[in-house]
Amino acid sequence: MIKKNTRIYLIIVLVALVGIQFFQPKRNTAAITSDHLFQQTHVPGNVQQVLNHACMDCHSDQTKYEWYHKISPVSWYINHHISEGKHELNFSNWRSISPLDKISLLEDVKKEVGSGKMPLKAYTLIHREARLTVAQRDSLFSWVEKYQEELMQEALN
Amino acid sequence: MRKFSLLFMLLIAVVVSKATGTNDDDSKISYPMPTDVKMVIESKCFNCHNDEARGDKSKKALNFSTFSDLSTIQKIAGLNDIKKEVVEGEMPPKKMLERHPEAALTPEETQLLVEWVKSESQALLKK
Ligand code: HEC
Ligand code: HEC
Repeated sequence: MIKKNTRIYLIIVLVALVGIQFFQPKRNTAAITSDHLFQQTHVPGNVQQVLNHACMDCHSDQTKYEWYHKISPVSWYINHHISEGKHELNFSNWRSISPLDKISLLEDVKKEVGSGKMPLKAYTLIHREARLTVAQRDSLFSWVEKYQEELMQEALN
Repeated sequence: MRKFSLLFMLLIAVVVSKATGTNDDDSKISYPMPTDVKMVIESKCFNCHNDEARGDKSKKALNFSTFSDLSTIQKIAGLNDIKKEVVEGEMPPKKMLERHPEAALTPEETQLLVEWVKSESQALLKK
């Protein structure tokens, strides 16, 4: 037998949990446009895969939601990551970024991934495919370096 | 009185040696830059952004003691970050400015840094 008080608390918690489901952040699911990184430059298939699996959920306008991401308060939590992540770096808006800013952002990509800060731990805990192997990391970095050289040419013009 | 004048002379000696010390011989920043730019960076940025700075975070983000050793791409990225931070008024950090409003960049200093970043980046790109 559950004590009466406990039962009242449980009911309150349950009602609250149901109640907050009516408050959902806006979904981050716009269509891909020609402004997207992959449309703006040639990105090798294996590097696209790394970015798609490990970064794009938080750094583009195209988050792939799992069912549990749509439940509050999980939805609020991940929405916070998405808006902060997009504020720093949004691959869906790649066209509008100047060549020098692109070079800086790509340098940050190298720094963040190299130091293991990105992808966020909270993310790799659940998304196994986002845990990068050394080979995946290397292919990402060598693409970054090659692309930065191209951007230097662009920045000169 | 005698003690006092001795102290005074010492003070003068220190001030004079400081004033003449801004020449390249014992400048804190090895990366070549115009003297006016260097003066701004040394007075408003260097303390947090050098090898001996206390904060690990600021040192890792930008280190003027080792800036010369960076690759061209890293220098360009670093310069671009400087421009972004000062244009957006993010540096020196707001927390510091609350206690030391005089540490803020003046509009002229901000302009000077931005112009320097632009010309320095172009020079690096041409290398
Ligand atoms: C779960 C969401 C999430 C994932 C996945 C993720 N990021 Fe982030 N990222 C963030 C957030 C939030 C920030 C801003 C706050 C911070 O810097 O911690 C950020 C910031 C960044 C920054 C800017 C850092 C700075 O301060 O300059 C870069 C660069 C970055 N991420 C790259 C990546 C790359 C590359 C990947 C994939 C390998 C990735 N991120 C995966 C959430 C994410
Ligand atoms: C009181 C100490 C302090 C002073 C003074 C200071 N900074 Fe910083 N700076 C920091 C800290 C701390 C960080 C790291 C912030 C972070 O990671 O959130 C930082 C980060 C930076 C970054 C990297 C930002 C990024 O995310 O890429 C740049 C660029 C920078 N500072 C430039 C400057 C410039 C230019 C000046 C002088 C006008 C200056 N700083 C003065 C403490 C300082």
